Amino acid sequence: MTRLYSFRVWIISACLLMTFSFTGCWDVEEINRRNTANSLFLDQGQNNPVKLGISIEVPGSLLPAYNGTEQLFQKRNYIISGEGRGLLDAWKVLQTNTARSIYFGQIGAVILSDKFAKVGLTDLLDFLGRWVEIPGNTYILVTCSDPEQLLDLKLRNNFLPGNYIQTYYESPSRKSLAIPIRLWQIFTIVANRTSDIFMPLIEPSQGQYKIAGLALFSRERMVGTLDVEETEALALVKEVQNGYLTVPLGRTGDNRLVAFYNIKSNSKIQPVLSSSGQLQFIVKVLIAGSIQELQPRDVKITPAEIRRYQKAASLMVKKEITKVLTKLQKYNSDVVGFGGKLRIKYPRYWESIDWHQEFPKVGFKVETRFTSENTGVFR
Amino acid sequence: MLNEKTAIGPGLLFMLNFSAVYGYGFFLSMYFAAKYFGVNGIWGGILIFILMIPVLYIVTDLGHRFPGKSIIRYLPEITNAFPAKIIGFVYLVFLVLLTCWSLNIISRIFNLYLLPRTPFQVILGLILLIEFYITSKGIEGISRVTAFIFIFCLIFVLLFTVSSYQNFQLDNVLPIFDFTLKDLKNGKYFEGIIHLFNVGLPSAMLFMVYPYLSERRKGLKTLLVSSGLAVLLIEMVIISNIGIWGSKGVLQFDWPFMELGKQTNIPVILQTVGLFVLPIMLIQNLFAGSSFYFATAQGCSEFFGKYNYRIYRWFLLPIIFFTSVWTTNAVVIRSLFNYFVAFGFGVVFILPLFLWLIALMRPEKTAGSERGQSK
Amino acid sequence: MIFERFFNNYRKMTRFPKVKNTVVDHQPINGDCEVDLRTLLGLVGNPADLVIHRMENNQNKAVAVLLYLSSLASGIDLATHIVEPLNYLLSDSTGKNPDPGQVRRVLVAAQISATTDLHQAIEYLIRGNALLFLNGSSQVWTVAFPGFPRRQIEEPPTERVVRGSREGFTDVLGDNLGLVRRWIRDPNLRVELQIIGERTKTDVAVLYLNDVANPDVVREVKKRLGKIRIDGILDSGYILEMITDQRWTLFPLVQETERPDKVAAGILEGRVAILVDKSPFALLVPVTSTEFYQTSEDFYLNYWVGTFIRVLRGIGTFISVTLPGLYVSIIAVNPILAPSSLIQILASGRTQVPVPVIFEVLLVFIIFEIFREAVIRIPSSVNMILGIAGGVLIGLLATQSGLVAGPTIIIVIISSLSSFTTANTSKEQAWRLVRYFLLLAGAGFGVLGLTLAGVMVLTHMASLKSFGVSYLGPWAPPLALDMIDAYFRIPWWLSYRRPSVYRPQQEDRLGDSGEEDARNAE
Repeated sequence: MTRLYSFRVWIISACLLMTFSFTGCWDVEEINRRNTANSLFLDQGQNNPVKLGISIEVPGSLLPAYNGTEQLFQKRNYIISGEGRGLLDAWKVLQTNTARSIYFGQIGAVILSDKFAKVGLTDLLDFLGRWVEIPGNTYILVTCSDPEQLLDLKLRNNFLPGNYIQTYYESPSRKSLAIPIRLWQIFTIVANRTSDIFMPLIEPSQGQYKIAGLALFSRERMVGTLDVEETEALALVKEVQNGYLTVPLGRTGDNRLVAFYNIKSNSKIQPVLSSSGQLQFIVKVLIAGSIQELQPRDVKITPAEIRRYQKAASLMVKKEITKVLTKLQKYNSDVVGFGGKLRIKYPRYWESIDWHQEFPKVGFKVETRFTSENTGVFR
Repeated sequence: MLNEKTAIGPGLLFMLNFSAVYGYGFFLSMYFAAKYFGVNGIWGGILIFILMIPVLYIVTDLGHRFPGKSIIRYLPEITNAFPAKIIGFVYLVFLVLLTCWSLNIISRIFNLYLLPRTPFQVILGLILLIEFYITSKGIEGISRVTAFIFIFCLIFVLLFTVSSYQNFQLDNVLPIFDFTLKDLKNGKYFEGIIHLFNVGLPSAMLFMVYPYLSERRKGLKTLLVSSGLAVLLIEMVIISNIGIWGSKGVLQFDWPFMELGKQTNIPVILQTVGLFVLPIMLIQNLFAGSSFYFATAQGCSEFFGKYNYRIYRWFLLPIIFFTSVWTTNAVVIRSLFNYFVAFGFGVVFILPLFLWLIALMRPEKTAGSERGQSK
Repeated sequence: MIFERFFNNYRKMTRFPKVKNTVVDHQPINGDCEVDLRTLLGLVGNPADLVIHRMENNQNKAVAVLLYLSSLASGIDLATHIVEPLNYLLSDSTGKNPDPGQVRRVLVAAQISATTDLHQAIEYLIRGNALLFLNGSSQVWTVAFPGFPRRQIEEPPTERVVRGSREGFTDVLGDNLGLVRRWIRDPNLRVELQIIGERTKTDVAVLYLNDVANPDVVREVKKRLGKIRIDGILDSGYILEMITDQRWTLFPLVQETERPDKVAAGILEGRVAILVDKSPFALLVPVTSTEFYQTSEDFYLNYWVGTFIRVLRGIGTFISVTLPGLYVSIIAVNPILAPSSLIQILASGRTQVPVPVIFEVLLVFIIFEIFREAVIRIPSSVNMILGIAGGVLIGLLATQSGLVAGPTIIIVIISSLSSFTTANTSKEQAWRLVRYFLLLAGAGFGVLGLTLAGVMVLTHMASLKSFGVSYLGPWAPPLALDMIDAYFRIPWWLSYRRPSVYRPQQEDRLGDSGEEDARNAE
């Protein structure tokens, strides 16, 4: 009996001693010992194809202010960058420029320069996809200005750039002006091949950032941009919940207008394949909104006037959407997802074609209907 | 002193079976559904459940024909002694591989996503040691600890399943059913069935555990409902994943990326689902692995005789560990897995069907054994 | 040498060497009271609190002797009810031995018995009885007039309630039995006495309802009590350790309480209560883990409030046990799991902290534990000053000087205070230690380690049993109604069943459903 229990004590002691080998030192690295990258930018280097840079917070600067400390007012971020032949090479150079190891697990946004985006994103996507740390819900944006200077700005509200972008998109009313896209969505679009990727355009403005439109991609290569109004029109097709619309009511120079707020749009896209093989998409967009501004002011809006405003808004939206779709075809960038609708309705036909060859040739028929729900506080 | 019970009731079996099916079968189900069935993968769960029904029926029917006996014990009564030994050995080998695979999946996930610098063997060793400890408590202990956490796990699994529908796009799951003769002819659907049946492989341990059930008349209902619930929750996540990433998008990823990349509906408290999902999945996988481990140890005890399952647990520990770590190459393991699921389909679906048919055809032998058995 | 004894005694009940037991020996009464008195004094050694009254006849010869221990018996009552009437009776007798029958008639006392064994008589003497030796009588009378010091019935300090009875057990078994009997006035209430402890001869009472409690449990309780061999029982804690199912577990497998209403509730549920003389803590067996989260207050307040408080206790325990480990895992191993805004603030706050987070957390915990222990013994006059200086100032200055991070102190305080939501001290102590285990596991392997350690602890709990009842019952094995009752206090107008986890003879509290009980009894 004693021998058996001695054996048991030895086994338990051996197991306990073994646990010391499981010290777990391998992955222990405290957050204050890491440089947590808040945002990342990619550009073409001067001497190398790739320039990779990150925006890091100044250590200790993100504490809430008390007793009037200065940290609230000092610049809270700085940039470090590195160049290389490839992305991993550039990343390696980046690591040598910092005292603490770089941690990408909390990245809020990735900014690409337009030059980099025009070369093609296939390599970037492979790198970002394989790298475990980068969260899938990171926002991706494109800038036509220098991304390093963009991220090095001391923003007026002294937010870190990644936090600024995340906060920007948390507001539901922004999505109609600046359609966000996240990393996982990019992977989805690229894998399914039923549409093309797009990215918001970000530019500096008044000491902050603004979203200046949309960058269009065709097969992972940037091919063009949409301005803010075109982006708004596109957003209507992609369905928004909180948009804006200003409709001029007279000729050019006449400053009569009606502006709508709380725009909600619902779109139905139906592909029609004729017997001769001609493909057409019927795009029906139903929009509802509330009157927010009327120039000149009218305190008693009649049903006839409402109908007039609705008709004007419908026509304007139809014109804008048609213009945008034409532009998309010109750039061969199906950011709306027409390919997906085609795949659903004509799966065999979809398998037999190359959508990128066919998209510029399809026809569109846009039908819009605008309803005005209420007139705000005034009648 | 209240009498000690070594039996488990239908409630405990329900929870044990649920954890085994969900904890093991969840991980690769959406990948296989998308790979072999495309958008039709959204019907994957129903297919899985249809495939599991006969297996569960056979488990209970053979359990009724041979009350109080596990498959190792009643094999000689169905076939002759020598084939029984071969089949029993094959079954045990499968259980060892199942335990190894279950360990491998979860260790790989944690190694890739949360502990990249920790050696894979250390993570696997830790999880294996905990499974070893849980197994030491016997089937009663395993089922009790499973039952205790069941409600909490179920709540979190439901929460995560429901919240996984954020960013769901209906277009990605349309057309609802798109059957192609081409895929049927080239065997893609058949291959898909075998791979999807991976979710049903935990039923193998039921052949060892079923004799412990105290109320056998409720056995089939218990197993069907628990498997059905687990498969339903898996099906919901298959649908949400295909709906979010599309059938081709799912194929790019290892499972956890999909969950870590999605946002929950409680963004202030948690940025990612990872904090809920990974521990719950780990817990379910632990219980699944422990039940496989127990079934293997008990099977060895009945097959080889001489020692209790507690001793065989020790013998199996290095076997399982070294089998699990002999290769850490992810690409090699993925290719080996295709053979494993085919082997599993044979052992868990074809073989019991075959045994059951023989048992049906030899009623005199099976009826005699039933009469001779005490309750 | 120590380990040898450990191995040899493993799994056996602890056995202490026996000493000479005076009760084992027998010696008949002589019949001459002076002789008996001398013999007795030889055995007990003439203690300082021994009072001897010699009662003489009219020839000044001692015909009766009354002795008692003044520290245990009430001298005034004895003088009034025994000495005075006896003196009156005996003063008339002339050289004859007193008539035992006559003597018996004049004795006025609640409890009188007789014994013919001198050693038995000594036993009675040291239990607080008075002994009356009569010349010519072969038996000695024992008279009980307890007069030992006892404290008043007070509210139990460890189980205060806002609503409910304010009575708590005292150190006297008789008083405690009285308190329980005031709650349960059922003739089926059995009170069975055992004497445990070679030298202390402590009275231990086992209480149960004969037609409700499972007879197997009752039998096992008595069996385990009977097997105890120890020189002295100073508190019910000794009994607890001796009868518990598993000796090496942190988790209490016997419930302790100072409240008579809780004991009464337990007995009504079919459990067995053990009251120990000189201990205000009663024991209740069997017990499940959920019992430690239920207090009497839950049942007296509105059921919604009771439910809320119970759920809060569960959440509090969970937070207390897992929060430090989770904090360390997120800071040190898996920061990806926390929102970026939280990580940024935590990282900024820890910029200057010189020690790793695990040491920082352990250090703050140890300091907090030291404060906690010290506060029990600090004189109340300086309690507040030291509390402010020790707690508030040290915490504030440690943070401002950068030695520890502010969030660490918050985590430690929340975790430590949350542990007190557990409604039982023993259970709270167990969780206190489990917390450190999870903390170390989380520090080493992050969320993986934390989860594995948690599962290990739960597996250990799942394997525990308390007198045959699964410790994790009613969750494991699952009993639907009991599970609901564990966290949702079912209103009394809906609740008519006893918890089936204890397998009582009658599940229906009013005994109406006879068929079901018969089925349960199988």
